[in-house]
Amino acid sequence: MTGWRHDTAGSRIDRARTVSFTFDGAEMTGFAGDTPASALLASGTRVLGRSFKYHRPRGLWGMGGEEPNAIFDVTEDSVTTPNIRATTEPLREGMALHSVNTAPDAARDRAGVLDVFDRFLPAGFYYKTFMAPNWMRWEPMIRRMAGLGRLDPAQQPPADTPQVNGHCDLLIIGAGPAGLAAARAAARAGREVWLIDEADEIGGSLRWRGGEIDGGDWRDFAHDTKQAVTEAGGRILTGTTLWGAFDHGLFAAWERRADAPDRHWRIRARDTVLAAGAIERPMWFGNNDLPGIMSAEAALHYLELYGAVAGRRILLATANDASYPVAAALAGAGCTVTIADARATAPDPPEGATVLKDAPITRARGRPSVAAAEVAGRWIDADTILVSGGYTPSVHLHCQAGGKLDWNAAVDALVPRPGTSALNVAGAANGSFGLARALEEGHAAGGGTGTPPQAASGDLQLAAIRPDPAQPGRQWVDPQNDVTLKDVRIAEQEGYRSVEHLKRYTTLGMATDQGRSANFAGLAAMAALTGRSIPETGTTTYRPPFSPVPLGVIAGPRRGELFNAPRRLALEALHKAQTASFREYGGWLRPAVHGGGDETDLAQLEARTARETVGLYDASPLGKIEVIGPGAAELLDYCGYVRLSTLKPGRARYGFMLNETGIVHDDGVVFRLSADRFIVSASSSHAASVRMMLEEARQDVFAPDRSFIHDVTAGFVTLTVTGPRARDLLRAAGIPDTVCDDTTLPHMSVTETTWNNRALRVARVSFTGDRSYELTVAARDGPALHAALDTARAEVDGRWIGMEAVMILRAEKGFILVGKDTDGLTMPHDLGWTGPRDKRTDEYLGRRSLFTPEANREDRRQLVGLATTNDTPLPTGAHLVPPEGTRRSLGFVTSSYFSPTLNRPVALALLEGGRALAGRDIGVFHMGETTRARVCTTCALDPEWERLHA
Amino acid sequence: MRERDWTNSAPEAGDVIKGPGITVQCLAPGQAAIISGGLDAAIASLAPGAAMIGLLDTLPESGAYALRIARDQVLLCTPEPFVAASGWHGDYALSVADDLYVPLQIEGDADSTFLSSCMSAQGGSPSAMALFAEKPCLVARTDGAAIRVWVPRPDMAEVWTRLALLSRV
Repeated sequence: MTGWRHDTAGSRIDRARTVSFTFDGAEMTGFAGDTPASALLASGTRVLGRSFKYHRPRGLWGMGGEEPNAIFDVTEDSVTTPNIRATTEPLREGMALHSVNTAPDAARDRAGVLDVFDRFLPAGFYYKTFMAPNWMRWEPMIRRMAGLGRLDPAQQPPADTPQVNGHCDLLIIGAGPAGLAAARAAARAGREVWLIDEADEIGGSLRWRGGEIDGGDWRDFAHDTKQAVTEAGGRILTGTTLWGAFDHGLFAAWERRADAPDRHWRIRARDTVLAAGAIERPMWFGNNDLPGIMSAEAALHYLELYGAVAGRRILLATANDASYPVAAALAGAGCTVTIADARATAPDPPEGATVLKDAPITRARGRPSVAAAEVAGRWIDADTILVSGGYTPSVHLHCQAGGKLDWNAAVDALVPRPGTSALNVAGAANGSFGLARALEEGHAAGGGTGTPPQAASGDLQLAAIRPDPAQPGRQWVDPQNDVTLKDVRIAEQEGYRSVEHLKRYTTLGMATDQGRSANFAGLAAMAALTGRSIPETGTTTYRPPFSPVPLGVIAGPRRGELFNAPRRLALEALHKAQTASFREYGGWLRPAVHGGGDETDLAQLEARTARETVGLYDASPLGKIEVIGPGAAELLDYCGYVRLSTLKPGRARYGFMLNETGIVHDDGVVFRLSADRFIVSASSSHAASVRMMLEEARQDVFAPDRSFIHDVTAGFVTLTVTGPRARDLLRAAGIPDTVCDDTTLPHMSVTETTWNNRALRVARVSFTGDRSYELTVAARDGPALHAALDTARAEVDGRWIGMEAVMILRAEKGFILVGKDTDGLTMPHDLGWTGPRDKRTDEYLGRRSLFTPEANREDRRQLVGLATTNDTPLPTGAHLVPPEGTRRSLGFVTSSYFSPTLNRPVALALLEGGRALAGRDIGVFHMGETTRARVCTTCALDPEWERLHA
Repeated sequence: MRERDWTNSAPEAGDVIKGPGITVQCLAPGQAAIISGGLDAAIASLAPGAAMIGLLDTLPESGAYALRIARDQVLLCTPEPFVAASGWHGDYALSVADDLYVPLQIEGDADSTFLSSCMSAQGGSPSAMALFAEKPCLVARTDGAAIRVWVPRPDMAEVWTRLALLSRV
């Protein structure tokens, strides 16, 4: 317990308002304006969590998103949110903070014993150790131990995050000195500026480092900037994390709001300035992960903003001048401060502090938190070690936007290569660490002319600090993932020399901090081990999110009825009135069955009725893609497996559409209404993609002014009447007999007529094998057609049937559903349709792929029927295996139902070389058991097709 | 959520959502057709003088207008039924599409905020087609400065539910 609260310091806290909270069950208090991190620091609590693998005690390191250790599960109002960073969340009354990866708590974690066995648990140990006897045995245990935080399964956060689109002239990411200068310059030029910062107030490091700009206090400069931005119609978003840069200038930002749901912004800007600052690096020495070792910059941050002082007897290890103001502030606050500067030449110490020159820190000791450090060969007592190993520019968004990096030896950092991303980078993010340079670059980035804002401070003087494997003790490169310098060496020895491989092998740079304080050390160490330079070694790929973002923020309202919502039928209400229960089929919500009771029984009843009298169902989702124009036939010839230019007006033809690799993409019927007008009745689930494939061919292969594609599926209602009494029903519904008799409307034909002064299209096609009519009217006329058919239905003892019955009816006939009875390898000849492949000589989509060696293999999976003597349908998805001998998958059952008409199960399957096996038995393997079925033809009912004309 | 738990429904013409500073009303579809190809010839033939409407362009107070979908395609909306049938008309293709879209109208003081929650695209595009509430819709303004959106009919239940949610924020 060494941190403490200064009596007067702390510009952010309101000492008049005490805030109560608990940490691992212990009651504590802070002040309004605190973060959990500042309150815990001020309380003297040192151990805030346990490390990921070894369960070593860990304390506060940083002040923002780079914090690797102080991560808590936070419970408020009985709702637990996992993995909240103590550094970025405001402290609220009643917060219950629970350390992660601990049991029972951070201070007494039982798994801490693992650290004793560290030599047996190097990087990659579990990849090798848990291979035997098999990974599956160990996986549950490892999963329980792995990860940070715990999800509360009962918790369902509200889906109330608004998703808002924003546009501006200039987006500025980061409201530190460079961002402010850019904003002021741009706003004064009349540009609409959006200024975004993760902190809840503008100023960046000025807030704790202070500074004079243009001869006045920085706050005056910030105030002027804010005013200029607002007056120019801009917006300042604080407490907002810009977490991703995406294609075409899209940025995503998460705004945290105190009194309203968080807000998710999608921002598009004409220009963007990245002024995200830099992150202080740690130093690498033995036991550099002990609680009480923290970033020097963070210590100043907590002192100035919260009055939280890191310790009383402080050793400040550094190699740069930026740490000296930190020492001065802490000495001024009453701390005993010793600066251990690794440089031989260092500035004079500030008042109240002492400095050791040419004094690198080599190791620390203490239990559970730091008590002393070895500096230049001698031990120095210290309750706190502050470190500054230099600064790493925050280049993440530049890289996400495609930007490249260059090595800048003067600042010992990778900096953005100008012109490689659309972002204009300024200030510390650009490796320009001095205040004057930051203001100058910001001013220029904002389009400022004339003299930039002036400040006194010059460039940062620093010496490069690197991990040194020769130093004693374990040196932690990535504290969040428990990666040590030794782990990097092991990775190199095992051949994982690429930084991407290093990341995967050791987990370096993963998890919530995304390696902000770790990646540089990892790549520097790998560079040294492999004899390469840092730029030669490279960096891992920067990807969104920049910081962890709750999935609920990204999802917004997309939950429940708004999550992947199906499309809806125009007649849904009428189907509900017919007691339909609904399911999603191919992206549409459609009646599954009608009436109450067991769904399987109802489907059987409906299918039987459709075979005996008549069934009616809503087929509106069937594609209605009109292809119109003098080039329509030519286009359809190219896009279809069968030729359609030979189709006569008034007739229909069944066909496939293949993709370029010859795989069946969809099947359906094409109607020819006139010489230059076709309607492609694509399957319900493929209508949109068929339209896109047609459109692509129209625009890219043919003269686009000779054919046009109109997908009018959504504008029409199609009701299908199927069964031996279908024609009787139509007659009873007032559809003229002259329209639908077998002479004027034979099977596979279509006509357009009127019915009760409404346009009506009647198509004679069948998906059931029975006489069927598809009646299509405008959606507004759908209710009238539904009513007429429903009234007539009673006269012929028909039923409304759902898709479950339709599935039975089509499977009895061996009619396929593409995507169910085919897979991503199925070609038309696998389905038994070889005619066009054998005979067509003209070019069509997918043709060349139908003649490759792969396409010609005799053991391709082919569509077959399966018969079984069992009364129970075969399990859909069950594997087909050899009936004798070694078991291996020869295919699988694609569709399987009990046929009420045949009074036995029917099934379709894809089977290797299946057609040659007709009449032979095959094994059906499912859930550890093998049964038998006989391979047969796909058509189980009415192979003579007599029912079509019944 | 189970696949059969969708209890929301598409609105009927005249249904209204009211929220702070915002009113959304479902309108009845009129007469419309998709026209492709020679747009000038089609408009001259079918609805002479009909204005070509791009994204957030203002609709005429009365008469026909053509909501531009693509370079060579519009949704032609007319007060009277079309005399031309679906098919090829020498210079252009026509498909009757009266019920392809359901129009709704958004008005109120908060309409710009509401709009920014529904769509990213801004005005200035020659095409009136934009993603609105994550669906491909046609978006224009009335001469009274209300926003009118043509929503694909099968997506209307989802869009309506989303708008109801947004109107409460």
